[in-house]
Amino acid sequence: MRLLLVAVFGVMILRLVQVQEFGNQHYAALSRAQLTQAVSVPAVRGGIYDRNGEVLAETVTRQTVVADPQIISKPAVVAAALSPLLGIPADTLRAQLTEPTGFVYLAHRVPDAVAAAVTKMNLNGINLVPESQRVVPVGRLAQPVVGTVGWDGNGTSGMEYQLQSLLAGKAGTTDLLQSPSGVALPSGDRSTPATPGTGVELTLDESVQYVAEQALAAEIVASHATGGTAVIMDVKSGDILAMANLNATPAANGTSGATGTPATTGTPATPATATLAAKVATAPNTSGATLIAQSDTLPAGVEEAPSNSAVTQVYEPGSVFKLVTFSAALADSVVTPSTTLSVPAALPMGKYTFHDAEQHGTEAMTATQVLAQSSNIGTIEVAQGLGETRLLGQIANLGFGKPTGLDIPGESQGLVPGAAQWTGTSIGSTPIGQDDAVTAQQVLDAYNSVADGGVFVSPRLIRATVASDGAVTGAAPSESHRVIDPGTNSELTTMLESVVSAGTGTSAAIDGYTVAGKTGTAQIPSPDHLGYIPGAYIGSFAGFAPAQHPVLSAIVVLDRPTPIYGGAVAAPVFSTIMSYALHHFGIPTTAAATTAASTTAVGGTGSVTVPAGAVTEGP
Amino acid sequence: MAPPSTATARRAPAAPQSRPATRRPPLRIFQPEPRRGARKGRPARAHVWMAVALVVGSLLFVVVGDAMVAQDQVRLSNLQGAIASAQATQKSMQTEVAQLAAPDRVVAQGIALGLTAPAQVVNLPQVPLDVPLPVPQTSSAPTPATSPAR
Repeated sequence: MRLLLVAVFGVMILRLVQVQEFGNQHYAALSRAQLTQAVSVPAVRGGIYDRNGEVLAETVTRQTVVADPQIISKPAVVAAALSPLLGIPADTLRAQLTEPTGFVYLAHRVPDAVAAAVTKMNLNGINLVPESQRVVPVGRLAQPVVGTVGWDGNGTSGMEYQLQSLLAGKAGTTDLLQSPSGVALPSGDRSTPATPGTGVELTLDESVQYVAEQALAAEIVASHATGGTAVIMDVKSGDILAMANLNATPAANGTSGATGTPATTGTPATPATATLAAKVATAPNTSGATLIAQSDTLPAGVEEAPSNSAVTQVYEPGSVFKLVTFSAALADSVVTPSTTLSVPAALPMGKYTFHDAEQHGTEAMTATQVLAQSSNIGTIEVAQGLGETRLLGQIANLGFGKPTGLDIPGESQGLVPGAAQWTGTSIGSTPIGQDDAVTAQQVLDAYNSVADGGVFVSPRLIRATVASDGAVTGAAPSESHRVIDPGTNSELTTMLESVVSAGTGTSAAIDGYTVAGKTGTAQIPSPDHLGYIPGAYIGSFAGFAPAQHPVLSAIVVLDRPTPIYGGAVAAPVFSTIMSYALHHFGIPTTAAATTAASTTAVGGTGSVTVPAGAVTEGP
Repeated sequence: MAPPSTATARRAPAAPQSRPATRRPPLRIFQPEPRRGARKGRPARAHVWMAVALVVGSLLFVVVGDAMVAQDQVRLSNLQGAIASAQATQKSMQTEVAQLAAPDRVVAQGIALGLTAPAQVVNLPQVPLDVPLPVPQTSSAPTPATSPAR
């Protein structure tokens, strides 16, 4: 008997040792599995800000009201209590609270006040679960650039998509310890904290963006255009200060242009004169983001474009492309600004005949006049002197046919036929902006090169990254390289000034400042057959200001406007946007800059400098 | 002290043999010797009590310590919750400020207050401040009062 007891206890001791010493990890894991619940902790998505730190998109934590119907003894009472708070009919809530499940969602992402009220009611079985929500406090401002997120919180377009890995961060996990009865117990270990996403500071300026969109929208309505693009850029840094992409709403434009409150062409709207619907409406959620400040700020009949048309849509540039021809011709001394050309009424070439926009007889025009009056025939004559190879070289030199470096999803590098694709009439069509397909940003980059003294600066949309602790790290400056020699550039700038002072772009003039630029009116190729769509044009204007000390460059493109001419529809929008931006950034007027320069010279420094304001107070 | 003991005396009661009757020595009272076991028992019992007290105390210390750790964990959890809540509130307020400062709202408020855009922006001429400003020209100098008004 005694031996039996000893044997039994011996076995028990051996088993105890086996369980405690050799099998402890296994049983501890089983215990943990019963008591703990692994929960994924989503990372807070980084915000998107403008160049001044204004919030364009940000993620906030909102509370979602959930219920455990199995422990709610009086669902009718609870439903009646919650109904007015959540704005859900009591019957609907009661039906949810009597479902045979242990978890139901009652209301997603309720406002903070509602969450606080629900907490205060202390209802058994009603809980709050935090959920992240992407909010856009400035409505749809710059939406094609900023982009959207889906219901899963991932970016679906724009910067939200392009910078998904940077913005998203990394989710963490935590093990919630709870008693068998389900009571949560404190547990400080076994948690992998989430890594918050990195925020991004864009180069956009919220105010300039707003004005650009308002001015462009007003002109889309006024000219019954189907859409438009406006981009404004810091000459030196390549920072894009505004990038507006708007479309006429399909319902408004029918088969052609937009309708709405008409505005007189040539009298562009200013922020204050633009019609604003002040009503604050609940935003239709087209994405996972919530437009908490949604106001119908754009005129009726105009909406944000679905994509960043400035870099995704290509078009034949028309006469703005003459910059390429003349920059190469001046550089190669094919012409000088004062070279006189004999410009006939028409120029036959193969089976085509080229004309100017306005009928005229054979005229003697200087190269400056050819550019100012946007003579197609005169430009073709210059290009014939230049030659195919040199023209194609300058097209590539100014960035056409290449990605801009913005790396925006869906960006097009354009279509530039090489020498192998040239036909007998290419030397007539290419110099005047036909045959090639370019993006608005590419055209602006070329004009910005002239504004920057002949130095090509890659455009930039990301100014800095913002860590979760608020530390701001500046992005790398844009790359630059010389594409036009200074002497040629100076002559070209003077010629472009004449376009605004005495040519086709007089509507781009800004009181107090000198402006240089070029108009463009291009036909739209037919997608169905060789040739162009009858009556369909793209009107554009690209330029910079102040002309002699350029600080800002900009382009405005309108799709199918009426009237068709860039000088009539795009140049006034350029003037409005540029005028606001010049004042916004404190750029001195040309007269003030000249006075300051002369004062500096007289003051003994011996050098005439760029106006101080343009440097210190510029964008 | 203890009386002298002899082997005979100690042995005497252990050998009750029938011997020829002799005179029995007179009985004497011996002081009992302190028991060896009793002398050793007191410190052993103290050790046991001390050990028990040590074990109980240790257990109590561990329990109290564990409770304090758990309490701190609860406090830590509450603080972390409060931090998260404050951060969420800060984010909400930040977005609310952004909403209030959005250009469309500012313009709408301006219009509501009756502000209008100027028909034309007038650029003021730049006045160099490193040279004396010209003296204002007046048509006639103000006549000084002969007597101050009262």
